Formats: sequence, C-alpha cells, structure tokens
Amino acid sequence: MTDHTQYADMLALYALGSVDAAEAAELEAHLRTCPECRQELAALRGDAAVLALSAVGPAPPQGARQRFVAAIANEPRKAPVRQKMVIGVLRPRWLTFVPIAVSLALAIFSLMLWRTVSRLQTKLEQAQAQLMDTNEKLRQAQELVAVLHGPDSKDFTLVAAQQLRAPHVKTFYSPKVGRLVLVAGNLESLPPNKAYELWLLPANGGAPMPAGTFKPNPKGDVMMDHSMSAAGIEAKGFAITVEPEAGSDVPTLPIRFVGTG
Amino acid sequence: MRLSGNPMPKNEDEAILIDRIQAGDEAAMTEMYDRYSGIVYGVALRVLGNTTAAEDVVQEVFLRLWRNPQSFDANRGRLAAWLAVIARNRAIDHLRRRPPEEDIQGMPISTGVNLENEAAQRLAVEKIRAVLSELPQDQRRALEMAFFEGMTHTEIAAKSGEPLGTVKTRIRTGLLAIRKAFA
Repeated sequence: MTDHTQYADMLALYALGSVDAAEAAELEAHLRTCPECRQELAALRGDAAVLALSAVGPAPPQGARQRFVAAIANEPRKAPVRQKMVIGVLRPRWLTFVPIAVSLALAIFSLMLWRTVSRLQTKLEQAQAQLMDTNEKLRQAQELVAVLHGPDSKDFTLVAAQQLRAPHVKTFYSPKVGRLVLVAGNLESLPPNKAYELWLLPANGGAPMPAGTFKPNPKGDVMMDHSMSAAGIEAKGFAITVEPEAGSDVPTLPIRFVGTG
Repeated sequence: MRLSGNPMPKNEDEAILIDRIQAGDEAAMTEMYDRYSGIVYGVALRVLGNTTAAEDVVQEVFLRLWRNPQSFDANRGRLAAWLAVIARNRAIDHLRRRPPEEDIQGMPISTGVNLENEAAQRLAVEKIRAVLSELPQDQRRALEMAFFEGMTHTEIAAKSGEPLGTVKTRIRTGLLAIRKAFA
C-alpha cells in the first residue's frame, strides 16, 4: 500500500474539515512532503466547493448589502505596504536595547491589563449580587401578588366586637401557597408585653391554628405577611385575640375580631 | 494553513478585481459582493438555518476579504469556489460558537467549474443538485453531514450506525462522483 492510497479517504475527509485533530496532524505531516497529495487535496476542495453550490438559494436581503457597503465605507483601507529586500545593514548600538525596552513596556502593559481585569471582575461580582437580590425581591413580590390576587384567595373582613374607633381588619389568604396577608387600621394599642394574634379557623371544624402575631403602629395601623406551617389548609374564617407577645398555642378569650367567609 | 499547490490557470477578470480591491477600491469590493454574496449566503443559511446568522457570516467573509485581500491568491484557485469553502467553514465556526479555526490565507482550491457570472452559477447549481439527487441516499447523506453539519467521520459513523470505513469511502466516492460529473 503506498502513502497515497493510505491517505486517499483521509484526504477527502480533510477537504471537508471532517477529520479529528490527531488524524489532521498526521495528514498535514504527510502533505508537507507529498506534492501529489497536495494537488489531490486542492481538487477535493474544489469538489467540496461544488457541493456547496447545492445550497445556493435566494440572495441575501438588500439590507445586508447596504450594511456591507456602509461597513467598507467606514473602513477605508491603506495601500498595502511593500516589503523591501534587505541584504545587510549596520545596526546602531542603541538598537541593542530596543528588545529590553519593548519587554519592559509589555510587562507594564500586562500589569495595567491585569488591574483592569481585576476591577472589571469585582464590578461583575457586585452586579451579580445585586441581580440576585433584585430577583429575590421580585420573587417575594410575585408571591404577595399571588396571595392578593390568586384565584383561590379569599378575603375576610373582621370587625370589632365593641366598636370604639371603627377598627378594621382584612385578611387575604391563599390555601394553595399557605400564605396570608393581613391589613388592619385603627386598632387599639396594647401593653408592651401583649400582641394581637391571628387565628385561622379551619374549614373542617378543627381547632383554631395560630396564624401570626402582630402589633399595630402608634396610629393603630399594621400589615402582616405570614406563611402557615403547611399549604393546603382551607379556612372558614379568621379570628383575633390578645395574647402574650410571644403568641399562644390556643386562643385566649375574649375574641377581639372574627370574620368568616 | 498554508500549503503549496500546483498553480491554477489564473482568471484575469478576478485577478483585476482583486487588484482593485487591494488598491482600496470600494466599488470593486461591492461588485465582488454582488457577484458572489448569493453563494456565501446560501451556504451559510444551509449550515446555520437562520437568516440573521447567515447574514452575519456574509458580512464577516466579505469584510475579512476587504481587510485582507491578499488572503486570496488568484493563482491558486477560483474566487467563487474559495468563497464557498470559506463560507462553510465560518458558518460551522458560528454553529459551534468558536473563533475562526483556520487561517484563510493561501488555501488552494482547484476546480474547473465556471462560476464567474450569474448564468454560469445558475447552471452549476442546477447541475450539482441533479448530481446529488442521483447519488445513493446514504452517500449523499454522509456528504451533507460532513460538509453542511460539520460532523467528523467518527460522529457520522456513530449517528448512522455504519462502520467507520464505510463512511470514509462513501464521502470520498461521493466527492469523486461530483468531480466526474463536472469534468
């Protein structure tokens, strides 16, 4: 088997850019010493070019031509520099130091480049952290919207058993995500060691479940966002009692507010 | 890659066009674009399947030629054939999201097919399509996978379930069939 027959199939693959890197290296070594194979490779590339023509279809859009014409107009080219043939030249002594100066300049440039890259890296990390923070806020806002406007959300208006300053309480509860939002106003202020506690009254008649403690601001207003211990608990209503600040496991009478759907 | 090949008969018209482009003649570059952008775009579109990406390849191929017209040597091949192969290579680079893999300078391409004007190109396109339609389906598919999809023979063998030797032979005989049809 001669070299040419050995490489015949491989040349065709090489012409199509379809050989692995190791095979390409072996073939290129052979091509450097074999004019016949180089000639055959050129012919195979010609065959590949003809194969390419099978894909020719519509011309590129006119806009592409306009962009190209504009691009070359923006890149006026200088005439090519013709190289002179140098037979021999006496070199001034100071030229000896040129490589050193160039090396120094390159070293300084590399240092500047490294510092720029470091700065950009820090900025990138800060931007990524900011993005993560924004995404987290967005996620929380989306969950809140799901509670307020979700298809399964129910709202309950709770009124005072003894109406003094027209206090009002509204809850929005989504059983699907197990989360509720409470908005209240004109609530009576409580002693420092006391807090209001919201109770979910299960639809299945089970015992009231703690649904978060809260304290109104000096004006009596408050908003609470609370996640239940589990999702999927259907509520028939909510009630509010006054409890120790840490909350209670069972409601302490009297019930201050109650509302059922 | 720069490998020496046998000198090709020089196309005077193309050589003049390249000379004008080397002198910075924008009109000559636009003329070249008008003459051959259909080939470059068609090949890139076939490889990438996306008009925007194909337009990018057209822009890149012709801009590289504008910036470096001496990369094409009129003594070593026909411009249309050279552009077709360059377009395919650049499109595959885009497909694999990698930087240009091959130095485009001095790639000798030898073909006797006349592609220098629109009528000649149209005739050649019709003919190659007819030739491909007459090839056995497995052979045509192997050629297309290698050229338009940029697959190595190992990948083609794995995908088609054919032995490696069969794939190699199919590709070579397919290319030789094209050459014979255009001889």
